[in-house]
Amino acid sequence: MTDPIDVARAVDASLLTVRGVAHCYVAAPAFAQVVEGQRREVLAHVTVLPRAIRVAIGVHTSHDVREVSRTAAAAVRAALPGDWSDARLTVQVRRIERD
Amino acid sequence: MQLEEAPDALLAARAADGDERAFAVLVRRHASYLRGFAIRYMGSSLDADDVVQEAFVTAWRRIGDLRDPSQVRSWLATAVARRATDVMRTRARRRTDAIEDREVTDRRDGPETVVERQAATQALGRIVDALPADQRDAWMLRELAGMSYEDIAERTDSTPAAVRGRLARARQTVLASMEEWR
Amino acid sequence: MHDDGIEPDDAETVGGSGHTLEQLSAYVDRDRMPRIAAIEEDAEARALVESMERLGGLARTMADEDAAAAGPGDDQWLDQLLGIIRSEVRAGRDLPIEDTDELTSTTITEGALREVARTAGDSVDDVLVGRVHLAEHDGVLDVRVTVAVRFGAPVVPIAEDVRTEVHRALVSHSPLTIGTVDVVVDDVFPGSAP
Repeated sequence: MTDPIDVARAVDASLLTVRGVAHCYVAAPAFAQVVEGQRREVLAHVTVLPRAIRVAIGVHTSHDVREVSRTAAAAVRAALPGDWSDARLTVQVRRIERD
Repeated sequence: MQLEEAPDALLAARAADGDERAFAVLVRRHASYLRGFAIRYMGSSLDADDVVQEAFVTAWRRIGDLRDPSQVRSWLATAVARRATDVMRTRARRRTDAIEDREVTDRRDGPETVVERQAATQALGRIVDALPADQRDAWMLRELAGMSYEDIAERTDSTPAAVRGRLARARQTVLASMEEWR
Repeated sequence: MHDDGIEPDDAETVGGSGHTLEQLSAYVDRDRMPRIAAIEEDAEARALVESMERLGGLARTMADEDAAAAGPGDDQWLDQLLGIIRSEVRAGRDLPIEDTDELTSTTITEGALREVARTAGDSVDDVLVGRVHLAEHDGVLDVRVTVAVRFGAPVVPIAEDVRTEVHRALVSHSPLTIGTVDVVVDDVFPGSAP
């Protein structure tokens, strides 16, 4: 099985090229526990049991939220290794960012 | 409309809704006051930067709990006092002797800050520093942080009536000492 | 000492006011309201109350001096703090955008929608948005926006403009049908409208 960290890295990278995505956020649910001031290695939240991927993005205010989130989901799907093709994917729009 | 012009209550309401730009305006607006209060409350400028920063972060997480948004400045000062107390307790535990770590008032100002202080406020500072600990605490939290008797009582594990008594005695002592000074 | 706050029988009252020092001190903390004639009309008691008020003023001056001495903090301190604040986006609930297939869903947070409403409301002149309240039921989103209006500006047309802008912005960003958009003007901020 592809290492979840590598999956997360691939997911993070795939979002960099999606038009309209202004920023990515830490997608882990237990947010308050993020160690302050330290950069996390990966932003996407990947779990093994069940296989699921969660990403949180900020969308530019001038773009259509539906379109961007759809494109982002497609980009992430395309970047997943074959053994993760059955993973659940949630793309969360967490902020609308000013241009 | 500029957010910088907004009153505290509106900024606090927006921040409670998640608007971090509004919170940033509150930070800039009140940072000097809170830093000054931290230094005065702890008796030194050591750790003041960290204390105020951590208090702001805690406040951001808890701003949804703020009942009266117009009181946000006092609420922030409460967060600073809370964090300062934690730091001072930790510091005290680490010391091998139990001598109270209070520096003289004049050493609070860093070498680079030249501030003209009135003789009267300098005298006030010295007199307050010399108060018994619980009276000094009540006085600072009331006069400098604007806390209510109830909130002060909660912090000090006491009652509003006891706080009332401590404040009265503190004021009596300070007034008498200021008379002498004059 | 009387730490329990109960005044012993021999607690001194100040002058002829019939009130103790403690009561006068609490009276000052209530901003001398409601007015107590027995205190205000007794020379000694009133003098003490006024002294305590002046002391409060001096304390405020001291706090101002402390603030000036401490300063606003250097840029690095501020940037670090604002960085932490910015990274802790408080999002609220997730609202669904669409389920592309059984394995994929997209969502938008309440926080993001509030930001949309806020930005739209802010864009109207002489307005500052306060709280944004969202309520979802059966795929319909009802919105209530509370705003402050600049003193002197016409409230009713401004509220209408806010409603229009918020509605338009939410329609383009929200996957849900927009129901009612209420605008409540509950505050005024100073400065005269041009």
